[in-house]
Amino acid sequence: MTQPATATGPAVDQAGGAPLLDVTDLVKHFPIRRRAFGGGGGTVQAVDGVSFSVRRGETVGLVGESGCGKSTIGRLVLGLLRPTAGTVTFDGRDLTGMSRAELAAQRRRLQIIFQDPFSSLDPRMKVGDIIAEGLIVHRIGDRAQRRAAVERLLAQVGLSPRDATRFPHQFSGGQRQRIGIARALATDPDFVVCDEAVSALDVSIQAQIVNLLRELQRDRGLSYLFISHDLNVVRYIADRICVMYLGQLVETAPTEELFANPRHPYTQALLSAIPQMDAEKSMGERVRLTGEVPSPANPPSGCRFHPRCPHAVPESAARRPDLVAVAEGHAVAACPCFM
Amino acid sequence: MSDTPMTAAPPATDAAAADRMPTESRWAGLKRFVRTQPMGAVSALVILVFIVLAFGASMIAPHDPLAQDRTAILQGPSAAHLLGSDDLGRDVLSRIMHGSQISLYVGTMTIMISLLLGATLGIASGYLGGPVDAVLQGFIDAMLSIPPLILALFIASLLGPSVQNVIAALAVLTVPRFARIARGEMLRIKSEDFISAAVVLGASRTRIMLRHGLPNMVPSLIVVASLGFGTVIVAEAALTFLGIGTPPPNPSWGLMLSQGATYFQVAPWMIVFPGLAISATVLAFNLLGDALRDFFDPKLVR
Repeated sequence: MTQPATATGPAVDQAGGAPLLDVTDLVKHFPIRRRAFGGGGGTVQAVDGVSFSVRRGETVGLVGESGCGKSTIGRLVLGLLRPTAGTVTFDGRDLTGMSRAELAAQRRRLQIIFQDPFSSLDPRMKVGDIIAEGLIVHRIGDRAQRRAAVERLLAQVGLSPRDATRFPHQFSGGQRQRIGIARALATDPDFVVCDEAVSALDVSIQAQIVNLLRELQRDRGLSYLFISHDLNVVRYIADRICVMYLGQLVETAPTEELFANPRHPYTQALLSAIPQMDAEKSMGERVRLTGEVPSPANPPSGCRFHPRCPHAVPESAARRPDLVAVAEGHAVAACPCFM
Repeated sequence: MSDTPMTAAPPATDAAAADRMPTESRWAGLKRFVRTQPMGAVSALVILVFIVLAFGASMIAPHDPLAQDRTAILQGPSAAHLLGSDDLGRDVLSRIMHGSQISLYVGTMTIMISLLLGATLGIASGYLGGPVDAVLQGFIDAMLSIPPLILALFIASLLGPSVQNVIAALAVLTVPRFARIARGEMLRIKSEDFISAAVVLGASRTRIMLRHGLPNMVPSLIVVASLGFGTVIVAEAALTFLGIGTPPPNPSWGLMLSQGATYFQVAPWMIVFPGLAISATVLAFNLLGDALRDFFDPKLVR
């Protein structure tokens, strides 16, 4: 039953042909710069051996605490960062080995929606120019066609065509996020990374944006990598969830399976931290974690969760646990403390 | 889904936005500048007068700035010569008016050249980083470590006295400042998500630097340009005073100072009035620069 971590991608991914996006053994270490005295610094192991895949039309949720490497994965997938090791394969082509020009040509198919609706729009550009930028860069259509495309996109995200001539600061956070979505969709991508795309918004606006994202997915057959720390939102939108802790995947399963049957102690702790309206449901079995998340510059040995794990056994620290399949599409980092 | 309230919302935000949002019409922005930065507005007015004088000197000036009048040598202020006359009997007021042409010309040309060069270097340095940045910054640090006037003296004496050479010397002097600011601004802008968004859209590096970098640093560059203008005018006067700037008989302010210095005790007006012209202009540019900086700073309460 035990499989090495390298084989997880395809193993977890049973149904439906080749995945659109396949991430294998992705590693990103950031050097810690030490100047003058003291010699070389260490490295921050932001992402350390992560594998997963996303099928066409699927939404994969990536959850974990702040600093666990979720956003780094999003940036690696888009080629905004170069990985230290590992590959990102998009539609059968390896993005990590591509030159700048080759990558630029692929870019219209991979897009991103950012967390911060204020930093993500150029304050000196009109909304119409922001949305049309991808079309201009990839030389799609003439001026009139681009204008028509912008108006169509604005309508699709629930804004008015007149908004094209206004500046970003004239909009609310939720409206700005809609502009960001329209920009991401302009080049008709297949795959969109939503990096905490609704986390900065009010709860009522969050629901609107999440619904918009689902609608667009249905209409256009989009795939999403939905990065979030908010399990309620992820549960609502994701087909499958990957749980990360300190740069590694600890568990991945179809959404309902994960919520019904979490295996890893960290996943259990994460799920029990979701506030419950219904007192009966929470049943007082909340797992409380003690201590801080260890520094990724000096991660714990073996199972990275062991210093905070309520079930940790001495063997936990000895060996890095492999991801093993425990049910259809459900894999977990098999720490000796529970398996 | 609950999209209807969103689409209905814009009219309400429209009204609110028009009220206090920073991108207002040019006219509204100007009015707000005058209201919040009165000193800056006065300075801008002084500079405007200076520009009008420069362009209209030949029509407004009461005398020919080069005409010598042997009957009126070293005369104090009078009805005939409002600010007195110099050792060759030339009208000081007319010479100051024409002198503003040279100051404005040298200032504008120098700032334009160094803005173009400095911003280009700074933007490239900040955005591309790595070896490009290391080399450019090393070069700029080296330039900044040389006392500015000594450097200008060296370049100007190497090239010989002419207005063009003064401009060249002063441009070399002010390039590092613009490069510094542009680099810092580019680094700040580079970390914003909209730059990542442009990269993901497939925009070229040149496009990102010019379409996203440059427009977002315009306020800072305007401030540095305004402050730099003052420095350049003083430096031009200093170089000319030392005899390696604008050559005579051009009515340059610096030249007037240097000629007037000899006669300071018998004809103080020869040195006081051009000195005042320099001070007023430089002060106006500096105050305008400060006012613009405060005006553009979003953290200050409006």
